[in-house]
Amino acid sequence: MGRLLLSRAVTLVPTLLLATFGIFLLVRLAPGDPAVALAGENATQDQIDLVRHQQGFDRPLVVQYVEWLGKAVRGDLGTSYNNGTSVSDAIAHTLPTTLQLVAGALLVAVVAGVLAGVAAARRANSAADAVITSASSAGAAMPSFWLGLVLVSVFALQLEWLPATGYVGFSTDAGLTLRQLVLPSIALGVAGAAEIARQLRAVMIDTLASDHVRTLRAKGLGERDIVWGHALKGSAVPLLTVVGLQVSRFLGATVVVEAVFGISGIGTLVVTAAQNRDYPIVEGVVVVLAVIVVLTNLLTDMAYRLVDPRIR
Amino acid sequence: MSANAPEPLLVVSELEVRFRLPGQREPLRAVDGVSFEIGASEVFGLIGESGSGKSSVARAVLRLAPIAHGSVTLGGTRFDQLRGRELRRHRRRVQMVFQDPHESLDPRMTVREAVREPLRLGGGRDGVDDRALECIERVGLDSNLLDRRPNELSGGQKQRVNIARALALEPELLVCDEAVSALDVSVRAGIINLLLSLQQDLGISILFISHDLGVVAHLADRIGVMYLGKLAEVAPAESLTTRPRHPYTEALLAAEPEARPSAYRTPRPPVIHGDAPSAAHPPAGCRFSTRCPYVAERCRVEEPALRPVGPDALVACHFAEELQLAGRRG
Amino acid sequence: MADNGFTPQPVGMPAGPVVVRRDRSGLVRRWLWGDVRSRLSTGFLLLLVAIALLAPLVSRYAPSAQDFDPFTGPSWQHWLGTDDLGRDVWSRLVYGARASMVAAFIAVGIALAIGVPVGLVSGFRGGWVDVLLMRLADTLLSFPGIVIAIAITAVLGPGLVHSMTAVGIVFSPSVARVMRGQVLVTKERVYVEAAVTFGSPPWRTVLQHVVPNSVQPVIIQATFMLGLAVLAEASLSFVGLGVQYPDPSFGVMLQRAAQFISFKSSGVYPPGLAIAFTVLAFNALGDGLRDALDPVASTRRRLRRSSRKAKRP
Repeated sequence: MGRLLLSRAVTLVPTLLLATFGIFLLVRLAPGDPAVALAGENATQDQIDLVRHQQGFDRPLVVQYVEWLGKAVRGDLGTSYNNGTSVSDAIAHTLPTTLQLVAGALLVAVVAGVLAGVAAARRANSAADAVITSASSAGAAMPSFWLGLVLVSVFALQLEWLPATGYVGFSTDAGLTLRQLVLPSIALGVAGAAEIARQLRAVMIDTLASDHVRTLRAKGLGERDIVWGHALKGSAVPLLTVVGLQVSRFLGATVVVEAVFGISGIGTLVVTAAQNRDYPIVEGVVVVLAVIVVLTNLLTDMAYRLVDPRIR
Repeated sequence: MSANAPEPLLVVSELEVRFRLPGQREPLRAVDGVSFEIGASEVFGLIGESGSGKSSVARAVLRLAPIAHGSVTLGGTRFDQLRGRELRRHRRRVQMVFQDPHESLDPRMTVREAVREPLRLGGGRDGVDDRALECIERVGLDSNLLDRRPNELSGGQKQRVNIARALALEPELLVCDEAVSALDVSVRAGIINLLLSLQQDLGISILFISHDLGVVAHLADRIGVMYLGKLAEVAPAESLTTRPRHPYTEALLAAEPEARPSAYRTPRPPVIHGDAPSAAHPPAGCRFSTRCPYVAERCRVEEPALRPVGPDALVACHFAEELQLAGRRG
Repeated sequence: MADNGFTPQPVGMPAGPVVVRRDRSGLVRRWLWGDVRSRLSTGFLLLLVAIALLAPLVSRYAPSAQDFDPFTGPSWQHWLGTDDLGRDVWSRLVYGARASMVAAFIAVGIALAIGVPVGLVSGFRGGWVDVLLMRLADTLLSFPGIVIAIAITAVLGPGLVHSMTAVGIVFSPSVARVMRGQVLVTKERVYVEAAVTFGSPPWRTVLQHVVPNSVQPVIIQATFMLGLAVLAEASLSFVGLGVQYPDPSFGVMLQRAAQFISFKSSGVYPPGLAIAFTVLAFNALGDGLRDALDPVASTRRRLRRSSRKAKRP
């Protein structure tokens, strides 16, 4: 397995390189001269040239990329144009928050999705199934940030059960943080739950009708054991695929959900940077997200092999 | 061996067509050294089982399949060596009627547009519409079909459109690749008769490819019989059917269904034994040796060459002169 | 839609080449008489387009007119009430519809302009070109689209045109894949070979036969994408990178309503519902088109649906 993992990891490196080079190129192609932006409005031509030389903007593109790559691998992602802070620091500061949010969303998606999917599969073609299926279609169709707004409006403002916005961090106040994470996690996770429920229902219906399960039933195995033990295991592979996909989707949707709930995660970071044309931060965030996506794919692959030894 | 004119229209010499199969090192030799000629205004039939390579011959003649070896000469021009714009200019001289009448037509084009397309490519701008109408009427279709689309036509009508389109450029050679095989039996006769009358009126040559010996015998002046990528026999239609000189031809003739039920009252033993060998790994010696009822030791070792036998036939069999083979019954 | 418009493969979109319906005639007629859903959604969309085009006539006040009491509810003067600065919500919604529709068409237009030629070249040429282009497409598709769109918008600068161009670029790989898939099927067709035998030069064969017979699934996908683009516009404008406040769009209105949600929590509903209905309408339209174009698969779907209903006790 270690060897397989290595070979998979090796094929993912070109993806990473491609992605990072792409974003690097993109930023360098931007209109406007970053040297001017850095030097400031009242800088003289000499000062601008000096900045350009210091930053290495006058070197060939490929050289710049290699240098940047070298620094990035060591953890140095450059400095922000706006306030000179290290990009790595900014990301390190905000990424954990986002990851907590994504984890919460995953929890919601998997728990709600599996429960709904299994319930629908067991009562296939019944009224309950129809209700669950339509609910998941609705959930899948709703944009997460609108759902977030509705949740805030109902649960935070009208019912006042949960806080509306903000995020203080576990180190400051774990209890409050947990409560602050509830609504955003739901907002983010519902669509994932809908997708998981849909897929799981389809797979489980097939599994529950299979000969294998029929034999188990004939042997006298209880329905609950069958469903939760065997059928679920059988559905593990497609389930993993869907869950893996959701991570990537959540990372995207978090951008907006953070804005709704006033959470300063990596989404807020990159949006602010985009508004301010702060390219190093944008670059850094894209790179970090690329790494996360690639790692998720790798983990999903590993999980496949753990769950189903038949896979290659 | 040419029928009327001294200079043959089409000369195919040692033609080889190969296909690379995925996962196999040796390419499939669909056509493995085939030579024949077609004269002006002659109908040449090419028959064989599936896998015999007959369709590949057709596609090679039309430059739709890559030619691995050999030559295709059209009216003095080395057709197989042309490329680019030159090739495109010469393409109008040989046209094809494909097997599937429906697939041959662009579903989004009307009949009028379909027939106009080759004319437009030929360079004409004026008179294209008139020419298109002429072509349609010549194949026996009514002008009110001009604005119809393929899904609004019957199989026979579609094939007539294909023929009209193929003839629009006034080719010298028309290749029909199983042109009636996909049509209802009742419709076939109409198309066959159309082809015959067109051939007589326009004086074009036809290369007619089929697995159905009955149809080919009706149409062709001369017939070539292909087996596993090579020609077994080439002879005038009349003599091929009454006095075949290759065991395979005899077997094909014997296998033809007859319209007399009494002929089937006593069960007839099959003339050929076994299945056709794989085209990818042809047997050593004569290719037909594994199924030939007259097989001898020599056949398994030495491959017979296609040679003249009798007044007008070419046969690839060691014992062509000795064998007294049965032609069509009745 | 959960990721706010950036799902590369819309739900229900076939992953492989679509069976292209052979006859084109009567397509519109058949689809219009087909599904109630299609007809309803077409009607709704036409209405939306009409409203967007006729905005000055349909709205009652100027979208920026602030002369009214803020945060009022629905009334005779203000059908949907007023917003935080006392502007008429209905009027802003109408102009917002215009902006959002324009945005969607820009994004899909760009996606098609890039995706169709790339898919065509990739499918027709094959070989290493195909492998390279599809690898690029897959790489692009594996990342969260919104982040790429934000990055591109960072480079180009915020605003409607720039941000929707970025969205179009993000959408283009899936257009390319669909086009390529269909081209792979079409280029093997006998009528394409027939055109070659007439002496048709490759460029002409492609333009006359391959492209027209390959675009149907692309059109269907474009319809779904219009819905996704509306969502994408809403997301980007919501975070301030799309349409710039005070210009109205569905996303901008949503953002303002969110900001003042504690004052008027119902303010999120007009733009939110407008977005939802627009997206659903585009999806239904796409479904209808797809069924009209591929009657075999649609019959199968219908049978599956009715057999499910029949099984219920």
